[in-house]
Amino acid sequence: MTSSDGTDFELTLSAVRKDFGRGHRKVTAVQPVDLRLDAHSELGVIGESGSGKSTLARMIVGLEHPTSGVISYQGRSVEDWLSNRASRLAYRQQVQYVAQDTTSFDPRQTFFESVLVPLRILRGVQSRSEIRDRLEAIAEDLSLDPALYSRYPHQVSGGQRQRFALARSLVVEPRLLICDEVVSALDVSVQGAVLNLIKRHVARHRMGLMFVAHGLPAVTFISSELLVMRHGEVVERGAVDRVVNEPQHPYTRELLEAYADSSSPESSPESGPEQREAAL
Amino acid sequence: MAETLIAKTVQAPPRRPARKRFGWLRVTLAFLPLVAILVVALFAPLIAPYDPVTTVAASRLPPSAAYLFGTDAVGMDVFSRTIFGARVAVQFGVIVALCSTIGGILIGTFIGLSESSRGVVGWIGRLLNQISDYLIAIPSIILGIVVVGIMGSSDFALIVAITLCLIQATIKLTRAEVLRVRREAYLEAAKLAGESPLRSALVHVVPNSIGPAMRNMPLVFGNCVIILASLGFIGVGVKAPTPEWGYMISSALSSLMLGRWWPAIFPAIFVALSVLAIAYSSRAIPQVWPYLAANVKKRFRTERNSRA
Repeated sequence: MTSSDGTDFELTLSAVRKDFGRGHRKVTAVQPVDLRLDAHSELGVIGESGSGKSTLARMIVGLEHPTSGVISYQGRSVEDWLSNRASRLAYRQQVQYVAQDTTSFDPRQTFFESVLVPLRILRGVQSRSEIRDRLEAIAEDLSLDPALYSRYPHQVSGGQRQRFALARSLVVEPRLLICDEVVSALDVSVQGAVLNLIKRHVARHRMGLMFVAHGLPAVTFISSELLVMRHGEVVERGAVDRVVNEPQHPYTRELLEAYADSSSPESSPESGPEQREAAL
Repeated sequence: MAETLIAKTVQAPPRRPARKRFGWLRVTLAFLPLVAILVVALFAPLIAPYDPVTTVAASRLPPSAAYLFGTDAVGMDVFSRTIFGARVAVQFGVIVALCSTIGGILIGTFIGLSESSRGVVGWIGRLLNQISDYLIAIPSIILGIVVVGIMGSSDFALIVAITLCLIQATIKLTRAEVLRVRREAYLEAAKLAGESPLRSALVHVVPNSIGPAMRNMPLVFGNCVIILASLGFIGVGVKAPTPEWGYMISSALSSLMLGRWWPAIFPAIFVALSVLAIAYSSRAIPQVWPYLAANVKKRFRTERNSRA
């Protein structure tokens, strides 16, 4: 049941497409895409706003429904996983999604109350002492002060809130973690710290990772495989080194040049020096 | 002269702007009118010198030391009746305020959450929304007469009638807030944490959208007092011997024409005063609420931390 023993899984997307709206106002957010994720995946998805990268991530966790195509996890379609309570909870435990996190905590609940919910519902942990132990463990893992659990969302910094959002997802020990723009709202030094935490945690617990972002350095730092999206279409995919060193598609080249050119701090959301090395 | 003037200007302490001089005095003043009515209602038997529903003296005595507000046509003490009238008004006010606030919050939340969804649930939500729109188009007196006409004259019928008159505002206020809250990212997070829609509605949506409905609650109270008195005045309110202000006024109207003003004027003053007091409190309480909440919370927080 636990993911940390390296149990493998397989999540596949076949010809998954998503349209918003109907008739002449129809917008295709994601063109038919095939994808395969497993416990060794470190997939980075990059693209500009509106490229469909978030929609792709949200379809995997069932926050959006694909217009056509099938997403299947362990050979069973996600729709099927979400159709009844028991399997829905099992799927939610195994595939977790973290969003860009400025508002994803109920302002009337402390972090303790928010983070224990998935632990209770998805892992069925009921004893107070065990809950406390696990919350403390995950906080230490993400270098959060456990004392902050008694705070409300508006009482901590953006970086801390983002780490609590990660804690809420990681506390159930998922097999696949989907991060959607998790560092985009953070300032540069905090970005580096959060990225390192994610990378370390994912490696230690051998979970699959899908990392969606619009900033190239973050994605290249954390992932080994890269998916470049534009206008809902996957324009390029491949190993990070390959894509960065010999980009095939003009858009990818444009993207890389934009980052290569920009040495001014506001246009390159990079973090610490170690990350710059990893990125370029 | 000039020296003293200068000295004065120099020494005059800078006055802090009125808004900042918050304190327990303002909190007390905000709650005072409301609390005064509640106290009169609660301790009516102690305040009133006579039984409100028995003849205690000759009829139509003018106000005097023994009978502060005089006596009415059947010799009941107007002062005692007026005081007990507050009790009746408060009983109805509290029940109606609770019913329409709780009911309005639940219905408003349901409407807000279901409105754009497909299927039967969305259909019911839109229907409820339409009904609550039409409710405000019907004058409350007519609605009251119809409901009492259908259900028969009882306290329960009156509560239903007045609640129906007043629930619309609460429904609409809550619905608007729910439409805002339902877009919040924490509902998605709750879904991903495995929370059921019902749990998510009760734990996240309701607490985050009840604010306006709660601030509206004292106004519901005040309106209830007016509607109760109006219904009593036209004779569909609380039944006769019970001291109810509206009925007291209407039954004393004929003697008002003959110059015996006291049985009608005093209850009328009390209706006006109580509604004014409630209106004042309902404006002032939200103003002092942040101050109060901050202080109470701080106290609560330190207690909880010291326990932990």
